[in-house]
Amino acid sequence: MENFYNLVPLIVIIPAIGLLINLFAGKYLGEKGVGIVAVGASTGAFLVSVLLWIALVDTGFEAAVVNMPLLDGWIRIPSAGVEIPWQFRVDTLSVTMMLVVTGVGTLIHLYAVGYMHGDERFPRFFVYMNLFLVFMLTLVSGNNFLMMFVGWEGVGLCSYLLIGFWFDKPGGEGWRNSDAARKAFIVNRVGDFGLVLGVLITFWTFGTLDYYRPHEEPLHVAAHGAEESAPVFAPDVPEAEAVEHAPSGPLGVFNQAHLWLEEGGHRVDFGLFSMSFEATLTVITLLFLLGATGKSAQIPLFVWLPDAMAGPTPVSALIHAATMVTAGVYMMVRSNVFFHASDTTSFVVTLIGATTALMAGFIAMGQWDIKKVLAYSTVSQLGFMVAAVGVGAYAAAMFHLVTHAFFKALLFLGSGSVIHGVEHGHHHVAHAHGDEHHAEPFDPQDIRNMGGLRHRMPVTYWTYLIGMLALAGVIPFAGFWSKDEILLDTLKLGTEQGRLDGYVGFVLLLVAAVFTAFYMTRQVALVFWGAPRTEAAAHASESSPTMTVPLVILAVLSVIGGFMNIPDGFPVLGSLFGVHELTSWLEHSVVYAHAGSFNFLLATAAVLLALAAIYAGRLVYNDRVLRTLRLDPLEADPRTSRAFALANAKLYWDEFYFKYIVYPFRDAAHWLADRLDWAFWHDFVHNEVIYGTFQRATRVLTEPVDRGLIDRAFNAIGEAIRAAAARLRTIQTGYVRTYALSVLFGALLVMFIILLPVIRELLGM
Amino acid sequence: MELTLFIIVGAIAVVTAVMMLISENAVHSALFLVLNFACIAFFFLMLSGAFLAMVQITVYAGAIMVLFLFVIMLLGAERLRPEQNPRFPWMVPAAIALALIFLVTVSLAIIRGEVGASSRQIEQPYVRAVNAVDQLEAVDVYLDGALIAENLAYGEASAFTPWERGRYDITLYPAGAEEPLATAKVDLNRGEAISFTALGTRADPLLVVADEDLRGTDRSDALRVTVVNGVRSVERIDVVRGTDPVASEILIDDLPYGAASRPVLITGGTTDLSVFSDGVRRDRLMTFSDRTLTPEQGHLWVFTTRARPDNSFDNVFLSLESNALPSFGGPTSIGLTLFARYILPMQMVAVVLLVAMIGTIIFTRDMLAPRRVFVRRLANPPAELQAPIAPEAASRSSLEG
Amino acid sequence: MEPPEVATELYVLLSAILFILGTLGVLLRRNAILIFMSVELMLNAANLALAAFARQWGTLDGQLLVFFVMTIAAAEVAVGLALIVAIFRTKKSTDIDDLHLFKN
Repeated sequence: MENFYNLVPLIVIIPAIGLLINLFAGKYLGEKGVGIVAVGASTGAFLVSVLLWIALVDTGFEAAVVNMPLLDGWIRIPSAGVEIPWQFRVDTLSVTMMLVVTGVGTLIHLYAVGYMHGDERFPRFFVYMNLFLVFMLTLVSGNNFLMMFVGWEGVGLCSYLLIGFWFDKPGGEGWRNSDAARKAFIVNRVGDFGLVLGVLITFWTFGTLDYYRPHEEPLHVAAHGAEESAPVFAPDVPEAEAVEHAPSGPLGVFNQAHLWLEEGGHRVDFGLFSMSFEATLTVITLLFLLGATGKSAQIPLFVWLPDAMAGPTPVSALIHAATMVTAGVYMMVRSNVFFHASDTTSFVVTLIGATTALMAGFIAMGQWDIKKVLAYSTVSQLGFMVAAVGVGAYAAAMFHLVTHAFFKALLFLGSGSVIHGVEHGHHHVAHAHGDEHHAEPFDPQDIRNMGGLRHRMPVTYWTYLIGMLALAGVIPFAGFWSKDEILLDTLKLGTEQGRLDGYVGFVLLLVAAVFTAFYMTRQVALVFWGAPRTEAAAHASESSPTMTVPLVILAVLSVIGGFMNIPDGFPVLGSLFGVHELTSWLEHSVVYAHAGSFNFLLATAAVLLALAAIYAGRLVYNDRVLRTLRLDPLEADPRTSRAFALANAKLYWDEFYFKYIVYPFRDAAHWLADRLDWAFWHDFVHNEVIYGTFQRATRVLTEPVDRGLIDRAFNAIGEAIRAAAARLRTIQTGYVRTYALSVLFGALLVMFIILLPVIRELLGM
Repeated sequence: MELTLFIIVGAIAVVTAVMMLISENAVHSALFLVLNFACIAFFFLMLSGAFLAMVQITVYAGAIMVLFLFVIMLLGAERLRPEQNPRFPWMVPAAIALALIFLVTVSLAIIRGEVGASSRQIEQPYVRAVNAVDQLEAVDVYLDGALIAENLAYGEASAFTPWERGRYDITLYPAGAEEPLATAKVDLNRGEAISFTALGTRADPLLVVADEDLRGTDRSDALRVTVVNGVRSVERIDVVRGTDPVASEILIDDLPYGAASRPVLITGGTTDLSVFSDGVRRDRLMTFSDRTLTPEQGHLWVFTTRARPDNSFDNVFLSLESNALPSFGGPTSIGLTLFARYILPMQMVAVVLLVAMIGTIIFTRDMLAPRRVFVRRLANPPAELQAPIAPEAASRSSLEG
Repeated sequence: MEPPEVATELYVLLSAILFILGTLGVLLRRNAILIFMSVELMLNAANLALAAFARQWGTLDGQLLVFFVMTIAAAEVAVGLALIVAIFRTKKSTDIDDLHLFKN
């Protein structure tokens, strides 16, 4: 079973092969062939992940480092002592991510085969999707920050390509799509800048980027729990012996950080100045946090994610809900040793996460676009995860990451199914009424155009409902367990350590959870309940099985996904499914993972608040309102209309950025282009100084020097050669025998030269 | 004798060459050339190039000259026109002068130069080692400090290795040991194939120098055998074909212990072999039935004994067979060299031949098909093509141009 | 090894004589076929020298070179005779002085 570890390069290679096949042969394979290749590649990667899981369980969760064939000496500068191998790390954390990425990814690939049916760039879509898998798996499986960074940038590229996938849609929509893609790319650059700096400082500090060297095990804390933060060696090993077993030679960054923190007083020299190691870690983690706010869409860099919904819905589900946006959370959980060491960063992370959760939940309540609602919901849930990292609940963050991947992928795919169905209904109506219907603008994503779809699309409806309950945190769906763990851990940070950010974060997150339940109810009510508000909705039809089967699978996962990490002390279920399985699994690679306990009071309160929010939502969006929806009832009510308008306008974030960043930047660029580049460089330096000088110089060189001297000399040589040739030409008689005589003469000459010493000897010279 | 032959045949060669030159009839010229080629084939024989001589006769005098005669007769060019008013009257004296200069130069080179001065010895000696020392599982054999066999197991022989001529000390070591077991002296001469055979026991070892003869034989059913006597219990042995002490054919007579016989030529086939003690009482010491003797090989036979744990002895007969060495200039040696060291030039020559074949076909293809005369037709266009271009066509073409 | 009865020098001298005779044939005869035969004679003279040196040095390389020269000569004769035949068809002559195309 340990041999399974060596399969890990395949997890990147299989999707790469799939994308190469589709890239070069996609045109000839047809939709079915392309779909089989793409889904097959994804399934292959999933099977490899499962084998790695088995290997981990079989070897007692012993992490392994595997070199990539051919690329193990990836970056090697011996003179500078830089050696960054292309190594895969198989441990519980990376395998968790692999399972999520490939498992959810496979379902979404399958769904996309149905969703993208008939698209003119069908093969290209799956090339991008497989490319995304390649990079995402590189990101999660690497054993060093550089590999993570490569994957990080790669998924950003795929995100860009896929958001702008329909860049040529007519009627200005293509421009919107490509603008959204550019926005995502540029906003992410800001975050990536932070990540790059963080990685560079990490390298400067530690001299390596490896998480752990091969055969090096994470050094563990003595007891689990935030209060016991002093790192000592594994508890079952006696102290004295443990010191002997301490890894020798250069260490990976995390264990090195552990040892330095334990010793204390270590300083990092930056040439001009030096900093204490603890302060360096704060700087590194803050820069990492900047990277995470970009990739995981947190304040202040979240603005790209809602726009990213311009991409096809499977992309939104896979990249912008389930996997890529969780890369930031993964990165922070991976670096939990760093984050745990810095209280300042933890404070900032908690506040950013909780604020984002609340703010995005608020905006989601005022959106009309079915996917935008889900996008803000994703931002909000990512806020939960980031806040969990901030309070040190790394296992809870990963738990929420996994469950969120299930139900958010489900919701996105469900929304895709709805959009598909409504578009289908729209075409149907347009056909029945002739062409004039096509002229009317019709937005199949606007939930005002829907309603009553539960009868037309029963499978989509029931799975969507499950996703909504899971997201809202209703027991026993998956979202309840993970969200409850985060809430409890946040509260415990306040009550047990008296930390302000714990209390503030808890309140913010609790309100965000209530918002979540409310806007999800609003969405389900507007989409599925009541009666159809347009003819398109009335004629919508259920999607094909390739789309509904993934929905059903994801729905099942959304129901049972929470049972993988049932907290301590939960009645019945704990004994059925085992207690905090996921946490004990993650503990082998995440040093500061700790199990959540169960607080009956808090859980009841959270569930009751969620149910109350759902009930309130149903009261506001009752059947009477749904029948003739002119305005949102919140908009119509004077008490809430201002708040709704704010939410609908997304709190003016984009306008703020445009006014204070984009426009000033553009003006500065204009000024530089006009003044510095054109006026100074082009007109003065290039035209006047360089071109003018050169022209004057060449004029001098042309007339007297070139024509007068050089030309005349060459003409004279030419004449001389011509005259000589006229004489020599007569030798060329055209008779073979004279040529043969010349050859003989030449041969004799050569012989003479060779024999010259002999002749001189004979003649006595 | 050889010199006389050389002078006679050389004279024929020169005379035929001159006759070829001055002959008025092309057919006569060709026939003189054939004779000249035959002389050269004869010289090849004298220079121990038997194979080349055969090729010279078959390919040159046969195939190529037939081709010449065929072309001469095909073109009807056998009668050569006499040289009337030669175009280059100065050609004849100039050519003859240059020819004389050439001959003088070559003679100079031969007289004063280094031609024929140094000559290397043909055919190096070959050496190998054979281990037949009782109670010694493996040996190393050195020739003046240079290793020729390492870790040689009992009953095995190393491969024949070419060696420089000269006088050498052979040293026998137990495998990997520092202390030598036995030494001997040997002279290596041209064309020899020497097997250093280690005999005896560990306590009393003996090195025998057996000079085998691996040259090819004239008989295709015969092989050369060299026998080494390693039987310690009797003074001398006879080796016979068959089992009967009286009626059998004696192959080797009266060979003392620790000596090697001269190579003898015997007939091959499947036969029984027996070893008898030589002397008054002819005791049969060993019998080996149904041994296959492959012809056209060189065999080294070592008869010896080997102690068992219970102090009785096993009779041992080592038969080491080597293929006969190819002779200089023979087809085998030429073929071996051709397909080993010269395989790349061989391939290139094959390509040249292929190109020549294609070239011949292309040059002579026109003879078979009537020639098309497009050029002529365009040079004399028919009347309708010579008519002036119509004005509208002219204007259109000028617009397009 | 005792020295051979016929020294290598004698073979080289004979080879030179035959070679120069071939050369004279090339220079003085005008018939293309005869010129070709003379070229063959020159090649054979060279072969003779090669075989002699092969014996002297005791290696087979010289003899192999002879072998290759024979092969190439065969190819050359085939192509050359084809050329002569082709030329004969247009010029109705095998005289190489008739082949010149240069105008004075």
